[in-house]
Amino acid sequence: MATEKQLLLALDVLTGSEMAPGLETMRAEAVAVRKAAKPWVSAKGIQGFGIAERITAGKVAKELVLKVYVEKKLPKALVKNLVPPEVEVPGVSRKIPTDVEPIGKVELESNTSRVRPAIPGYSVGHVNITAGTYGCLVRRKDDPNGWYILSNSHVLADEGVGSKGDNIIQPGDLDGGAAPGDVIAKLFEWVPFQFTPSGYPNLVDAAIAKLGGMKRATSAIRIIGVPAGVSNVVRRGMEVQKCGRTTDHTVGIIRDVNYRLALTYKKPGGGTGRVGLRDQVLCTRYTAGGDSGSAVLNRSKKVVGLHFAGSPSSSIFNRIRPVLAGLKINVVTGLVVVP
Amino acid sequence: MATQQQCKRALDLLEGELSNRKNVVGLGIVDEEEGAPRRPGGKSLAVAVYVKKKLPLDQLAPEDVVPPVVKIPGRKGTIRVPTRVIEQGEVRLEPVGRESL
Repeated sequence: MATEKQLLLALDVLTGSEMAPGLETMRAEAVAVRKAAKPWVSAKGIQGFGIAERITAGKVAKELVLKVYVEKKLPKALVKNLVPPEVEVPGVSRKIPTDVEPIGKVELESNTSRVRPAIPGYSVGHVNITAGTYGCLVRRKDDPNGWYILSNSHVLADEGVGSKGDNIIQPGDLDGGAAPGDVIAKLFEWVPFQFTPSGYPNLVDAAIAKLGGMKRATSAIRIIGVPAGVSNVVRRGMEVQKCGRTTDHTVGIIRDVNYRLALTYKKPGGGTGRVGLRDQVLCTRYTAGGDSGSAVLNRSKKVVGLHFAGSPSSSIFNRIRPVLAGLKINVVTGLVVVP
Repeated sequence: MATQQQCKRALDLLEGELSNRKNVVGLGIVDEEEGAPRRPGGKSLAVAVYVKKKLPLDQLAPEDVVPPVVKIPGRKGTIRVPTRVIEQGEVRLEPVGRESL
């Protein structure tokens, strides 16, 4: 049986790592082996290499082998460059056995995919916007039967110029979502902006969309889990976390809990205008474009805010209390999968 | 040295005047010195003036310069509240940006 050290050397020779110890003295031979193996090493369908136990007829054997991971196993007649059952490697006295294992296509994992039930932390959006994040599952105080998803107005309500009943898709338009196939909810309500030439009268950029029919969604935020509740306590130096469409699960530190800023939003009826927001919470940078609408939670998983904006050095969220008050909602704190 | 209450009052009274200066993107309240240990009573706070970019004073018109201290009326006379200019860059909403595609 080949030792792990021998297998590691074979792996280095075949996949061309120049850092392999011992390769200095046999570079020419190693390069020749690598060159000879290139047709099957770089063949279509190969999903990587490694070292693990051989699997024969579904059973894991004790023998360690050089693993060649492929998308799927094909009949030998259809494969142009077969993986040899053994490879000879300079400097290793015995032949190194290989084992081809199908693992499916390896892809980057992101929160931009279509998921059912829809999971907070994944891509969502009004049909007219790019994409934002599904923040968390909420209920309206006056609707004991309905279920709603919470995000920003600029994610679900097209900055407040959308209409009640507009289609909300998961994933968002930019991530390949489209109506009618990916519609999970209908825009229900948003907190309208006050446009003023000066001052900071606004508190939130928030909206909800109503889940309906068989539009399934869950209350458990990706990685973080079900919110443990809501907290109005935000302090400078406090750590917060979120899970968003673009940067997934990240942690930020609060820098300023009295932050006031003005941003430009679309105006209902056309054009844009100045929206001054006060009592915002400024944090270190822990988000990126696409994370808008993420629920912001403290370390004990209580929701403290709704992420909505940022700069190259900072991330900014709305406090949760005015979000809940403005939309007359409660955060769902039990594990719920809306059927 | 200023308390949270004094900084809040300074913000309420001076937000218009401070935010009209060039490059200002936001206002807030922060520790007077970054990383300074918090004192009991929280008496070491400053008004934060967030700017798109920090510029040398000689490149700013006098009316755009943020004063190191702002003054607000108090019960026992004028209260001096320190300011801190913090570079923040441009603030944007955070859906996926079309321009980044």
